[in-house]
Amino acid sequence: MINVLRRLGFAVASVLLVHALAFFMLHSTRGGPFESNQQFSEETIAALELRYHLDGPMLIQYWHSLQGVAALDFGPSLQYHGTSVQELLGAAMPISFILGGGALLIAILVGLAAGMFVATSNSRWRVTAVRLSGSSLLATPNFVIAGILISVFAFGLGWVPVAGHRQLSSWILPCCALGLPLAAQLFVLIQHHTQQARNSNAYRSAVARGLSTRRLNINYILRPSLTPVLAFMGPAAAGILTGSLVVEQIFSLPGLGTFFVQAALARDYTLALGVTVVYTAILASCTLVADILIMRFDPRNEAIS
Amino acid sequence: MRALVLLPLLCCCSPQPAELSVVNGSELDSFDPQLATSAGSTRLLSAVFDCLTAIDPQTGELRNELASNYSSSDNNRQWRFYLRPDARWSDGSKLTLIDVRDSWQRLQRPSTAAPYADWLADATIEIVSGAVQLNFKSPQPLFATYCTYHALAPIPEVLRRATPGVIPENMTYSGPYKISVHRIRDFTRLSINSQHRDYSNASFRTIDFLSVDSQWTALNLYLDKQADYIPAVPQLSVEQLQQRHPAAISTTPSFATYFVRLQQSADQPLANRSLRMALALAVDRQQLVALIGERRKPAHALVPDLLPNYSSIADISFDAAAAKAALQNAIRELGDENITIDYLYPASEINRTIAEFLQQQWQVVLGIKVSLNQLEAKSFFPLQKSKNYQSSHSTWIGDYYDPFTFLELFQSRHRNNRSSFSNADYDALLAKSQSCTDPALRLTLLARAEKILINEYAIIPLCFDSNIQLLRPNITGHVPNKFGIIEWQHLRREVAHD
Amino acid sequence: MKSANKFPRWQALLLLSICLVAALAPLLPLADYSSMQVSQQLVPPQITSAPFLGTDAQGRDMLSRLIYGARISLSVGIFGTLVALLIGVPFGAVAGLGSSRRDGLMMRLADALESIPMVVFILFMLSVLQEYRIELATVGFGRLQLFFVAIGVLFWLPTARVVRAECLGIKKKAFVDAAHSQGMSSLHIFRHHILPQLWPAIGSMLIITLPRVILMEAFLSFLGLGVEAPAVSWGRLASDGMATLNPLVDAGWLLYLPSIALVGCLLLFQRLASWARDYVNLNT
Repeated sequence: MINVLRRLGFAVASVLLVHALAFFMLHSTRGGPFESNQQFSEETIAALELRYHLDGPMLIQYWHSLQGVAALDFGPSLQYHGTSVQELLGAAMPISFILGGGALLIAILVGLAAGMFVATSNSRWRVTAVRLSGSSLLATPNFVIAGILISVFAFGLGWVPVAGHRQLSSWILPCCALGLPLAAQLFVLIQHHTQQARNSNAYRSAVARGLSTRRLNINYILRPSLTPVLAFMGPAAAGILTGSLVVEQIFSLPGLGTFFVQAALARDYTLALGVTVVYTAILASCTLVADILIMRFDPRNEAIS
Repeated sequence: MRALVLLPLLCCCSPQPAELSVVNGSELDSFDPQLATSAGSTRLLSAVFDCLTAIDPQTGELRNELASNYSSSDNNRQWRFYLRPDARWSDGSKLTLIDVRDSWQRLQRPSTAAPYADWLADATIEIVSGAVQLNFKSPQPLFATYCTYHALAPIPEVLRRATPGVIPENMTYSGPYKISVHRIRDFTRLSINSQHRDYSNASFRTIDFLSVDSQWTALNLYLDKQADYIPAVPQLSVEQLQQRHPAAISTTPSFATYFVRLQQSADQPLANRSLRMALALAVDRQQLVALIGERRKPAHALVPDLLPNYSSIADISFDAAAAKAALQNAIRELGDENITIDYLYPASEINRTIAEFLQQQWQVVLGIKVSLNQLEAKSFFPLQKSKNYQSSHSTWIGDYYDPFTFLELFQSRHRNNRSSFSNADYDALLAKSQSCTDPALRLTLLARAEKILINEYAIIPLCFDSNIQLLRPNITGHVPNKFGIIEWQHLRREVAHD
Repeated sequence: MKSANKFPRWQALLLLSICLVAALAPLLPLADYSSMQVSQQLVPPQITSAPFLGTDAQGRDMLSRLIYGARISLSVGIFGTLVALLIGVPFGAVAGLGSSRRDGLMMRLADALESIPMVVFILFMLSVLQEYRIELATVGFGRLQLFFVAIGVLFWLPTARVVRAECLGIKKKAFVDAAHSQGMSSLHIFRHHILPQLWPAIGSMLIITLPRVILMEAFLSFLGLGVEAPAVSWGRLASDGMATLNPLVDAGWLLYLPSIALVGCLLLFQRLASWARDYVNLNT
């Protein structure tokens, strides 16, 4: 229990630290949110800075921003006049959740299936083929995978629409593009476990007892290999958040990932900080939840932490 | 928990598409006509807000829209605008002179932080005998032209008062359409404004303006039949589109120029005219245009030749021999054999192509080594504005259809003069044109000023921009024009062919 | 079934020859990789005649762009990794060899730094480096070198963690206590007794980090934050290829060629990395 509280405290501290670092880094970067091809008059610039609290010493601005974070109110966006960061994030979150959830689903299904296959298959060249595909996926940049998927399935075969997010089928490619590299990572993690399970005494005696293949596979190979899946959740969340930067841009999904790069480039300080804080909070909570689940399901691990 | 389950359903069961779907570029920067500056904002706001005056798409002349009449006196220092009696807001209330006056006063106020506030600088605005009267300190021959831009459109009281909680869906509008739904970074739905005078002619009851960041995605939406109009088509696809959809594709010149700014302050090598001449004459604009898109036109001057009554007398073209000779002069005058030039540009596909092209040209024709410095936009502009560069990429889109919007940038003391260009004759001509009452004479003075600008090689014009658009062939009622003006209320869809 | 750890000979040879070709590129009879030919836009690969691997949307030869791209990608990988090691190894060593309180503090700091979103950080680094561009240029530090540093700084953590773990183990060994009691200075102990033990770990981290740096460069190129024109890298080529992906014009080679080069090289590195990992595991 104390362990959990300690971890929670640490998670909150890291969110605040990231906020501080991001704030000072953003504000030290040259260029402001109102830079454009236009040249505003001195009065206009002064009025804008006053309205958005961009005047005054940096520490005061930081304090103001920190208060906002504590109240979960990130303020108005600096590039979308009249729209608050909350509205923008609120509109983007469902998209990112669906994308992330779908990608995670694909990652787990494909990763587990590949891991099982490698342990139970008798064909050596098939196993090598699966291993090679896994390695290639790990070595390919995200956007290349997305590009190949689009090129083959959307343009070539025309099975799925290329753009938009209104139809259900338009989510298939983005989720695959995001999920397949994670599936490869998961596969690498669990293939040792599935193979160990295959070679274990428990499996052999179950075979001797004459259990059906299905029961064998599920209870004696799949179950024992599930622990690393929990440990994988932490890095998976990170991978989804980073990978979504690319995937959302390519498939034009208006999620959190596009904001990430775009807000920083546009010097939309409030939006960039809001996205950063949300991102860090999601990451910290995913890792925390994963750690708690690991502690609950495998008491051995508690000793190591 | 339930919400999370419902979310996917919500996203996928989106509302019925509108009768017309239009791609509108990236999300709008503002719904406030006095604050918005992006192209997408302009396109949408011009459908929901009427201005006092408008450009006639066919002739390019000014005509009245919300104004019934206007006049100027005292050498364009005093302006009077009379309103149409049937001007209404979308909730049925009358659009009055008070609306106009208060809107303009709000634009003037520094606290509004409006980009175009200086159009009304030093003006006193009051209602005098049934008209809004403005008194300027200096002559403003172009004020009626400024009024075609949405920054000077009358805005509703809720917006003026900054009533908290005002969202686009519950504002009132003066244009043929009003905003009924706004989903951030998704789409904005316009529905027909039954109070508008053009209401009975309009065919489309609802129009969706889709927010799409990438040109390729937009094209895909068109090909998937999810969008009917695209304002800009990627260059690479033009050839194929020309073959497969010849009836849909059309080119509109845009009132914008790509050019190179040359920093002419005393300590810079480019203060030397011969060197500027060498760089300017060494650029083969035909080749450049072939690289970045043939439908753009090579520029022979600064002001694009779109305007009905204005023709540039300035001229510049590719001349390798003259460029080399000028370079020799420059070397002699500067006393420096090895001249290297820095070129600054904001990151984007087309800017990079232009930069690499210029680097290649200046290397091949003149043997000058050019180092490219790419910055992302927000870092680029402060550097350019602080004059911290030797040569830099530049674009200028005219805010209104008159050459002055380009030429005023190079007045000695103008805020936007980022090149340190200073020429007394140029300044004199521009000042004279402002106090000129004869429109034809005014344009002649401007043409002469432009000639000075080009002859002094203050800038290197590259090309005039153009937009390649796609409009579904079964949509009629659009009259193609040089100004890219689309009157949405006059469009209708023929059901016969597809 | 685990076989004995054989050194992957042909993979290493292939990798070496790629590096060789990249290094010798200026001496090879290649077309100019940055010259734009309007008449040669989007020519498909001809294999048997020039342009062997086709041209891109601006008419530039793909074969030379791929080879010059290899130079940048591989040097970003090598120098970025070196920067990562230069920061990570001392950090990990100081944490691992010091008191447990110092260790705890340093690792907490590392955890917190790890959560900084990389995009914000990269923008900041590039902007800061831009400020001092002139001064740095006099020392021979161009934009490319600055990029090496920026990207290397993203990867020092895993190395620091591994080195720290190694040091924690080494610290407990008897010979360290023996050296201490003989009165040797800490620095001397480190250089002569501890560092030799660390080389295998450092070596394997090098091989593991290099492909990740190259992938990160590709990612940054896609976001527009990668190497600057006219320099070209595989990441930039692949993202340019992505930009030309469309249903109307088939220019697949622009995407597939750099992707094959990238993935192929990284697979070779992966094979070497797994050999190195097994080697370290077997010999410690």
